[in-house]
Amino acid sequence: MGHGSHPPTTCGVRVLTVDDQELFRGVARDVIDATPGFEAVGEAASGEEALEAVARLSPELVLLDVRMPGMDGIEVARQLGATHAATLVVLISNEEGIDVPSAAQLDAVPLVRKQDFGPRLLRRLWQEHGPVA
Amino acid sequence: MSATPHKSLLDQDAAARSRIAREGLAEGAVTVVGAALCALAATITIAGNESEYAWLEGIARGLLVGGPIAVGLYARRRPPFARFGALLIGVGFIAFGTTLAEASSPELYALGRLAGWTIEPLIVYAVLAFPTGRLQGRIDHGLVWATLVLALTLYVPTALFVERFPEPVHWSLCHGGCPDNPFMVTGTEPALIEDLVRPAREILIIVLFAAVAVRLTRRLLGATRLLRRTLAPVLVVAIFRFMAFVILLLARVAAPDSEAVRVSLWSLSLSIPLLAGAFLEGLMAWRLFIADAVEHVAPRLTAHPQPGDVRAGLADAFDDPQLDIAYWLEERREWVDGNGATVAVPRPGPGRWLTEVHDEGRLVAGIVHDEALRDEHAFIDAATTYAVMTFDNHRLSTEAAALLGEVQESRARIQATADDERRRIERNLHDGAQQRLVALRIKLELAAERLDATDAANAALLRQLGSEIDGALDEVRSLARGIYPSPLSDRGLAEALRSAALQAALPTTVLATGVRKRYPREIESAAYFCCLEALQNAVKHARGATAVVIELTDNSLLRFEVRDDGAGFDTDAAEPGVGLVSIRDRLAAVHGDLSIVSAPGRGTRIVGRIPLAPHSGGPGLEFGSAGARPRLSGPAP
Repeated sequence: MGHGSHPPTTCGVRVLTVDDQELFRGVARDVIDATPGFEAVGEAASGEEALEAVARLSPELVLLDVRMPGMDGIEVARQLGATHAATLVVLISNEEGIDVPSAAQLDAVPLVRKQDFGPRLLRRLWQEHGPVA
Repeated sequence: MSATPHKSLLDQDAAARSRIAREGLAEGAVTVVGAALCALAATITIAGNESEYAWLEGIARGLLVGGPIAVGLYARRRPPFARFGALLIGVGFIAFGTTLAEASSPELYALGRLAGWTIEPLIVYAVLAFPTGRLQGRIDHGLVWATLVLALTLYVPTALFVERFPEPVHWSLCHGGCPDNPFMVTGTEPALIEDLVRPAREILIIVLFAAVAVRLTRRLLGATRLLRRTLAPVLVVAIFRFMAFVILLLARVAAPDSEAVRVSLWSLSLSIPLLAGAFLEGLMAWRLFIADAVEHVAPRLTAHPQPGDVRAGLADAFDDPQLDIAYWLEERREWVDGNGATVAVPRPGPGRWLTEVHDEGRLVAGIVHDEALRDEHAFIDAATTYAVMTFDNHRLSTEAAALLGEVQESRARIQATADDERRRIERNLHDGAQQRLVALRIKLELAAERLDATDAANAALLRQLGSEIDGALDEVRSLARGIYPSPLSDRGLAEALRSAALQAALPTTVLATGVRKRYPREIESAAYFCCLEALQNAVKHARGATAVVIELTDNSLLRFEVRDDGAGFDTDAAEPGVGLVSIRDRLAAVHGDLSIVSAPGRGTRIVGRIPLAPHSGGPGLEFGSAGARPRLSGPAP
């Protein structure tokens, strides 16, 4: 399901969305498209697809759903932390932090609620956690 | 319950009554006739007897007849010895025949002497067949037959050829000289008789009597304590009689007028009454032993004896170490031992006997025991009672275990179904309502973003709607969490407990080292909800508690402990609340158990343990070991 057809450009922050739910991937794409300085470069529907897509697309920001069948977001984030330290990984979840205690063990991986997602949150995440500093 | 084939009780009663009546009549007749013969024998001996020992000789003769008949009548009354009793009565009647040898008439004298020869095979039979009246094995049969053949070939037929019967003899006092043999058909006595037949038959009879003594000794040495006690007096008298016999035969040739002949004659005269006394003593020893055994077996076998205890108890009390009990399981169509293991069809070996035990017409057990006990009602009653009791006990407990197992399985199934349903609802909420609300919330934010530059008022309105959706989402999330926490579905027990700890009203620490990430779903659910209940209990009831620790360990069984530092309580005084009862039920469904350790001022520890090894299947028809059962333990001390 990876949308690898987008050619690499330099027009914005390259964002990969990972979620097993089509509904969220759709609205995330709308948000990224509507946010200047960000570009949706691909989507993945599972943890395994996500690792493959990151290797292929080299995104700068990965929006990673916590709760997925098979390899979940926390495991993907742990692996990406080891292999793609430069990539900003953001865990997104329907649940709150208290529901995902193990997410807290991952240093420098912010966890945000899906419902708070939008252009403002996307910009803030990149400002606070991106490589700008 | 019975040890005999089933009959209707009425039939049994009628048959038993008529049998008892017949036996009573026969016994009365034998008693009267026996007493008369006894008196007659004594009278014949005393009448016209001018010896200074006439009275003594009369009493000895009376005892010779009366002793065996009296002891025989006594033995007849006890089922194990009924056959033997009849045999002994026969000995008494033939002994009366020997009294004829005291008559002055040559014909009666000769008949009396013939009776004296024919009684010997019967005495050998009685000695070897004591106490049951049945000969055991070929050797015993051979000895009895050999004695009989010897009497009928080398003794009785010589009556046609001899001038006089051998003298002196214990059957006749021959005061005034023994008569000549009136049955002699030849003119002169063939030398063959004196030179060959008499020495040969005397050597043979000594050999046979010696063989009987050896046989009796060997039987006694290999016998159970019961039989040893019973046989010992008989062996002593049998050896005494044998010695007296040998001395008479030797002294009669070597020194016919010696004291040795007189002593051996007296000894032989008294040996049959003595033998009757020895039989009586043996029977008394038997009765005492059985009474003792029955008395001793009862305390050993309490209300719920295990099959092994029953076997050991009976074997010990009746001193029959080889005693064995096999139980017949109709459902499995096979014999099993006390431990439920299949065994071969019980077959008695030599000297052993199989008693089948029936309960309400159904075969329930087979007891292989000392053949001597085959007709001993006291033993059969005790053994069958305990065997049936044990069988019933274990059948009931097996049925109860099967029912308990079914209840257990169904409880586990109900719990698993309920958990599955909760998981499904939570997943539907997550994938359905929550996702749609989230998408709607994001789309509103996006719309607000677009309006920010042009229509700030409407943008604010949209964001306000977004907040409303946040509220709805919080409620849905809380609902889903209550139904089935997603961490438990997704990331296992420890993670779910950590999540619960983060939401607890008291500072709560989760310690989980050496614990697997995932366990079977039913075990995770049971442990999680039990910990959650215990945690809520601590928050609600543990006065003064400042912290809670949830500790998980895994050592072939999953153990959880929820402890607080609150006021604690007296576990004996407190009734377990609904929460604790539901914890117990939850744990029991996964074969786990629960204990509560608390005391005033010492905090409370709620400890649950769930076995992880694959559980053995539902209880089959097991016998003996109870197998794994849920243990609903009460509060620990």
